[in-house]
Amino acid sequence: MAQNGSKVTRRQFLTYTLTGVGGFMAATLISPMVNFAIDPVLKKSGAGDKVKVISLDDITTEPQRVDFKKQTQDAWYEFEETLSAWVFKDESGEIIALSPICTHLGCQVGYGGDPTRPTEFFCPCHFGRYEKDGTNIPGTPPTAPLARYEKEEKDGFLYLGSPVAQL
Amino acid sequence: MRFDGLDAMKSLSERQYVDTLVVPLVELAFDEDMVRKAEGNEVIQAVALETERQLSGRTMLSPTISYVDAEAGRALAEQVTVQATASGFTHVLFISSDLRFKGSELPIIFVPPLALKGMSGEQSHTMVQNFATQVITDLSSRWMAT
Repeated sequence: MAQNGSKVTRRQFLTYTLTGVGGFMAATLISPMVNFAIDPVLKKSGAGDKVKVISLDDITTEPQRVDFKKQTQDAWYEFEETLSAWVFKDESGEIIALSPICTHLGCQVGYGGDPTRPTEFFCPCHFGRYEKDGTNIPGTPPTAPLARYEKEEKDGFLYLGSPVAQL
Repeated sequence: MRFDGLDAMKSLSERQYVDTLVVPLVELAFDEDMVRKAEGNEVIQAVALETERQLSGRTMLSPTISYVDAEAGRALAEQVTVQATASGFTHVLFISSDLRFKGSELPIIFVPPLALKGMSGEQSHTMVQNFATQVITDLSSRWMAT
């Protein structure tokens, strides 16, 4: 029996409670979905953590080395890391930014570093060789191609992110 | 590779690959000569780090050997060479700005003392790159010869 002064019946109480809980559950499910749907809007503008390295006009079909600095965080220790990339345009005009880190033991390769093979990347440490597009040449120490940087072209400049290993 | 625990372990297990030791050789002074010695140190450290960055797969960067007396410095450098060679390092290279070592037997690349911090970022970067290239070319030709 409803107590004196109370206007809420057992049926009403249950309806309210269930609607409330149900609504809450629905919100839990739907709000992340909304988040995913409008994700590009929420993303920070600009090139994110990519770093501006070189003007697009300066990129030719001849690979050139560019050095740039990037804020890096290692655990709680934040420092400025110097990175290098070999940047060029391939035959189709697409810009390629190769990481110079040799996939063998981590030395830095140079384009035309071996004067007898001017169109290859050469690692001075253990004489590893790569084609111009970064493919490792079988029979030399490296077993994987050079990594490529995440890249973005914006406002006439090339922005580079992190190197991505090629398989 | 650096002289830290992880890299030391790696260098021991990859001994046939990591066969080169690069040693900064720095003279200390605390009188009016201090500025010049400190500038030498600036360039030596920057060049040594850049060399290690570019050749980390085959070189280990040793902690700096510092000395007050040139003769003692030379003796220390020779000891390090003997120890390193005995432990499997085929090549040992010193980086120094002390021209008194010019006639010695030690394999040294000389860099001039410069106030890098007084230069623009671009300028000091190019400067360090050039000296590092000198070191790298020297090491490459040694490696090619073996």
